[in-house]
This record gives sequence, C-alpha cells and structure tokens, in this order.
Amino acid sequence: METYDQDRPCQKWKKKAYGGIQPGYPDNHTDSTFLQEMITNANVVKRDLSKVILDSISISQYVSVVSLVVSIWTHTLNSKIDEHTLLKLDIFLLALGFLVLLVTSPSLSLHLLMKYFLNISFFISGLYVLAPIYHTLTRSISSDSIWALTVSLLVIHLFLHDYSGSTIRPPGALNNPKLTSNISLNASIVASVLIASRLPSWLHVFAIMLFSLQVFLFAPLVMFCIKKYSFRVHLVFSFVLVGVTLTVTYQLHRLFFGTLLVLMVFISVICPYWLIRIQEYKFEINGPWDEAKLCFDITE
Amino acid sequence: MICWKIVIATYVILYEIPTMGKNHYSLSPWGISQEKRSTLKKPRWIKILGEKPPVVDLESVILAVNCSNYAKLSIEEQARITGPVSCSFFVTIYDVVWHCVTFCLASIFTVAYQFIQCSHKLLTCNFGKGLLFLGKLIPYSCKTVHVRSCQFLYWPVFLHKHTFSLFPNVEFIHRSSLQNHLWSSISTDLTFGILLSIFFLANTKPISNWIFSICHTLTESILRSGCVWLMGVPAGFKLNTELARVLGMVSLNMIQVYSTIWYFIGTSILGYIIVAFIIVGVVFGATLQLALFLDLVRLVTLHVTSLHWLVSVLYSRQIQALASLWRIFRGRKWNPLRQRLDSYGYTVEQHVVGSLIFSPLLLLLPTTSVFYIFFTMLNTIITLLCISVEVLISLLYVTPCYEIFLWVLNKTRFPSGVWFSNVSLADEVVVSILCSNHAKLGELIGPHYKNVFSGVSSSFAKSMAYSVLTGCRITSNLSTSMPAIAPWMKLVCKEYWKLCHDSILESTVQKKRRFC
Repeated sequence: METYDQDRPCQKWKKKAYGGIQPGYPDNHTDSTFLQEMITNANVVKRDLSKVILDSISISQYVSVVSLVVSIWTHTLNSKIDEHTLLKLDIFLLALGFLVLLVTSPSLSLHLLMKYFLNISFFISGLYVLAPIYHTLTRSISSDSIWALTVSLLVIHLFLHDYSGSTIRPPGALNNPKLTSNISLNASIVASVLIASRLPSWLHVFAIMLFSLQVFLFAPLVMFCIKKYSFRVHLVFSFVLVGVTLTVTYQLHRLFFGTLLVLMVFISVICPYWLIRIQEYKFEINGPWDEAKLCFDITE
Repeated sequence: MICWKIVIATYVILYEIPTMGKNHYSLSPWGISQEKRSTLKKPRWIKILGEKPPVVDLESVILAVNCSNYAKLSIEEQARITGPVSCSFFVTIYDVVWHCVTFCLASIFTVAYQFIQCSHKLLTCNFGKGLLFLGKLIPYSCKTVHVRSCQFLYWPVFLHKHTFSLFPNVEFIHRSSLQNHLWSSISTDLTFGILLSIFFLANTKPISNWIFSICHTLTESILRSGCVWLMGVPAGFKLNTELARVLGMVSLNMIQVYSTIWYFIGTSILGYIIVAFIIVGVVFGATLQLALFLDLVRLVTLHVTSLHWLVSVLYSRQIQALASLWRIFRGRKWNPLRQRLDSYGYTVEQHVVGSLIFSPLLLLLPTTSVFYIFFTMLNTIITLLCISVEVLISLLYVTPCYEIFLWVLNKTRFPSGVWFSNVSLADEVVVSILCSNHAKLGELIGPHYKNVFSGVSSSFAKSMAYSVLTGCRITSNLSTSMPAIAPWMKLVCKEYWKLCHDSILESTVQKKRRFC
C-alpha cells in the first residue's frame, strides 16, 4: 500500500457513489471537504431554566386536576357527597367551561357552538342510557381488584397524556391526536367506569360518570385555550388550582397529600434542573445523507 | 446357499376350469380396480426377473384360462336352440295375453315413476308450499323414501341385464353380477325392518311408557335444573345477576312452552307414531325407520337447538365486538380485502364511544360464555346422536350383502392372486397345481365404506372445534354420501315405458326358449 503514496496519478479524486475504485486512491479515501455539510444540534432548542420551570407548570396543573377528581371519587364512595350535589357540580362545570371557551377563543361561530352542543347532548343521553348497565357491572369483582385496576389505569393515563396540546381539538387546530393520547383517554374512561360501578344508585353512577368524563375530555381543552389566550392568567390559574388541590388532599389523606407534594416538587424543580444539566451532552448530527421527511403540517 | 439351476423340458400345470358361478382366476388383489393394477408397486426381485426376456405374458394366460369354458358351453347352447320349436294355438293365445299383461304392468310402473319424479321436484323446489313444508320438516325420511322408490323402480334394468346370459370371460360375468346388489340390500333392509316392527308390535305399551319417562327426566333434571343452576352461582362463577336472570328466564319460558306443546301432542299421537313405524318397517325397511327416528329426534329437540342458536349469536357478536374494539385501542383496522391489519387513525369520538362500550362487553362476557357452554354441550350431544344414526343409515345402504353372502358360501369366487404348488419334481417334468388366494372380508367391504366417508372432509373435527370457540353455526350433519341419483331415473317417461315393456318380453322369450 505504501507505493500509492508516492505514485499520485493525474486524475483528481471525485466524490461519487458509483464507479468503483478510483485508481491511485484507497477505497476509504476522504478529502478535505469531508463532513463539511454536517450540521450538529440543528433542531435542539436552547433551554433556559426559568422557562422550563414555567412550562412544567402545565404538567403539575394536570396532575392536580386528576388528584381533585380522585378526591371527589373518594368522597362520593364514602357517601360524603350525594348525587344532587354532584349533578349541580356537573352543570356548573359545563357552564364554566363554555364561558371560558367563549371568552378565550377568538373565532367561535354559532355553527361550531351548535355542533358542540349537539355532541354534548348525544353524549349525555348516551350516558343516561348506559348508567343502569354500569350500575351492576362489577358487583361480582372484589373491591381490591377494582382499586388496583383503577390506580394502574390512572398511572397509564398520566404517563401517556399529551401535555403539549389537547386530545380534543380546539377550533382551528392542526395535528391529529397521536395514538398515545387516545390510549390515555381510553384508560381514563375505563377507570371512571370501574369507579362508577361501585356506587349505590344509578343516578349516582350517571352523575359521577358525567363529572369524570367532563373533566377528562374537556379540561385539557379549556386549559389549552387559557394558555393560548394569556400566559399570566394561565400561571395564576395553575397556582390557584395547585393550592386548592393540596388543601383538599390534606384533609382527605395525609399519605396522598405527601406523595402529591413530593411529585409536584419533583416535576417543577428537580426535573427542569436535571434537563438543563444533561442538555449539554446532547449531540445530534444532520446532513445531506438524511432521508427526506414528508411535511404534513400544512394548514389550509 | 445352494443354487438350483433346472433346465425344464415340460412344465405341467393342473387347474380347475373356471365356470360361471363357481370360480375364476385373477392376478391382482380383490379390492384393486382395473386402472390401479398397472400402478402396483412390485418388489425388487420381480423387477430383476422382469429384466430377463419374458417367456410368457401371465395376464393374457389368465384371461385365456377364464374364457376356456366358453367353447364347450356355446356348443351345448347351439345344440339346444336348433331343436324343434312347436307353435301351437295355445302358445299364440298365451302370447297375446302376456302382451296385454306386459302393457298394463309397464303403464302402471310408468305412472308410479312419473309420480315419484313430480313429488321429488315438489318437495325440493319452491313450488308447492304445503309439500315444501313437509320436505323441510322431515327431510331425511323424504330422502330415504325417494331413494328406496328409485331402487324399487330398478327392476326393468335388472331384468334387461340378466337376459344376456352368455359371455366368454367368467371373470367379467362374476364381477358384473356383483353390481346388481340392490335387491340384496333392499331385502336385508326389509328383514331388519320386519324384525324391528315385530319388536315394536310386541312391546308397544312398555316402549311408550319408556319414551314418556325419558322425555320427562331429560326435560326436568337436565334442561330445567341446568337453567336454574346457571341463574345462581354455577361452579363458583360469580355472574352478572341481571343478565343471567334475563337469559335464564328466556330459556326457561321457551322450554316450558315447547315441552307443554309436545306433551299434549305426544299423548295423543304416540300410538299412531308407533303404528306408522311398524308399517314403514314392513314396507320400506329399517333405513326408513331410522330416518323417521332421526327426524323425530330433531323435531323434539327443536327448543334446545333454537336456544343454542340464540345464545351463540349473542356470544359470537360479543366476541367480534370485543376484538374490533381492542383493535381500535391499538389504532388498527381489519382490512377484509387484504386479510390483514392496517394502522388507522380513529377520531376522538370513536375512541370515547369505543371505551364506553368496551368495559360492559368485557365484564359481561363470563355470563354469556357460561350460558353458551351449557347450550353447546347439549346441542353437541344431540348432533352426535344424529350423526351416528346417519352413519348407520349410510352403512345400511352401502353394505354389500350379496357379496358377503356369496363369499360365505363360496370363497373361490373372490380370487386375489395366483400361486403354484409343486406336486412332483421328476427328471424333466414338473407338475404343479394352480391355486388362487381368496379375498378377506375386510378387502370386500373396505372400498364401499371408504366411498361413504369420501365426502366427509378430513378437518371436520378441527372446523367443528373452531366454530364452537367462535360461536359460529355448527354443521349438524356429516354429509356422508347417500346413494347417488340413480341413472335410470333420468329417463323420459316414454323411454322408461319402453324399457319395462322390452325387458318383460325378453325375459319371457328366454323362458319360453328354455321351456320348449
């Protein structure tokens, strides 16, 4: 192989994919333009600690919403809340949600409102019909299995939830919901069905199902609209929500309160710091050798 | 090892002359048909022998041996025919009378032939609604009656064939005479039928009491108590009480209604049914009795069958819905064109509705499957009983009684290969006797029985197990092949009349020849 060093032929080395060995150069010869077009860390977002902490507020907000739902479930199962209060709560929440949507969303035509209204009425009548079936569904299963199943389903729901957007699209939204967000929605619905089947009368079942489904389906949408409308309102709302949740859980169960507090601190403080710390090790390379990516995100 | 090398001058073989009705020779085993003879696998030493130049072609030798009696017989026959034929006045009157009798007989049988064709068409096609209902109610008996009537109408063809008496090849005569075994199967059938009828006649009262007690026991202890047991806590399964109660009440009501109806009908017409059994056994034979029994069993267990159908529809729909919803959770959709799963983006509403429906379906599945298993077991027992009776009927049709009868009498009519036994081995003359093996009973009956089961698919058990698991419809008959549509039933009426007429005339001419 040493003979090639002294013997440089007239042909210049050309960078080409086909053509075989170019005479005078070894097969793995590279010249000075090698890796010139490589781009490192093209898509990496430069992160700031305060911004990350502020963004993680939405995660803690959703975790607190879910804990509120769990505490209402526990109160209902212990017969501290009766069904009429629950029904009033449902109507109140529905009205509140609509109000927020009206205020925050700029383009909300009457036609869209009618469509929402129709969907919700179908939904409510469907639940009304299914409530007697759900009432006696799990009578033959022991309570321990039900609690275990519910807890695991809620964990799956929190794990797979789409925190960046909302599964139910606000008006004029872009991406299709991903599969994981749909699976998290299914998990939450099945968990609420399991809890609802433990209640004494079918009106209880109807009220609790309506409440859980309202929260799980529409709360992310409402929060997304608030966040889009104004960040400050969103921050204030989140703090208020977290505070309310912590008070409620403190009165309910000390261990639950403790776990929740630790979780919130972990999400809001420790995780952002950790992310920033390991961000500097990120090394992504892109170049002309990458496969072309099709672009589906074009809005009409 | 000592090798014998014998140079033979004369080779004498003694054999018994093959005569019609006694014996003939054949090279290949009995059950192998003509076409398969050439494809038989020969052992190696035969192949080595075959490479030597052939001295003699055994096939044609055996053929000649089989035909060796013909010359002697035909000469005797000729001598008989050239005798004087006396024509007298009485013979002509006898001729005329016999012609009239032939005419009438042929017309009667042609009318019967046409009647059977029409009724068969009415029972199986969509025209006469009343008869179609009868055809659907007792299908097996109608089929059996049709087959037996066709076999009764076979007699002109039988007579026609038997007028050809002389044929050189004794093997051919023997084999073709075995084809006409219809009359033997009819007679064995009638014998069994008469025996059964005598048994029924002798024990009418005990049989009817026994039938009543059996029905009562089955309804009470199995059906009713089974349903009540399922509505409670069967085998420790904790079922959904509402659904179990609904299903149990539906089945109990249906059983109650149906068994009350059958009780009232049964008390009034049981006597008539037994009388019908007896008459049918004497006229048509045991196959029709068994077919009537099969149809009656089906009619009486109609409530079990329909309940099983209801519960299996419920179960199969539930299983299909659960499978489809599970596919929604995974984001997949079944592509029926390509028979595969494709990924598909469902909307959020579809996901919500899917999960709302998935949980009750999944949690109600144990209840439905317990009821399904119970009714499937009952239905399977009834199906197995029907299948065994059907197999018995097919075997009765197909068993070659005439062949077995001849085999018992004279085994030499069923040769299955030849061999030589050496008698003496002198200087240059070897004397040996040509002996033939005879077929065993299994070789005789085997091909017939194999034909019966040839229509049954080999994976019958597997398909039945799969349909039980997924709740589809179970095939309730084995589809064993009944005797094929008789070729003589395809004739037009005029040709059939001509056939009857000619066959009667020819047989009387033959008899007259022998008589004069």
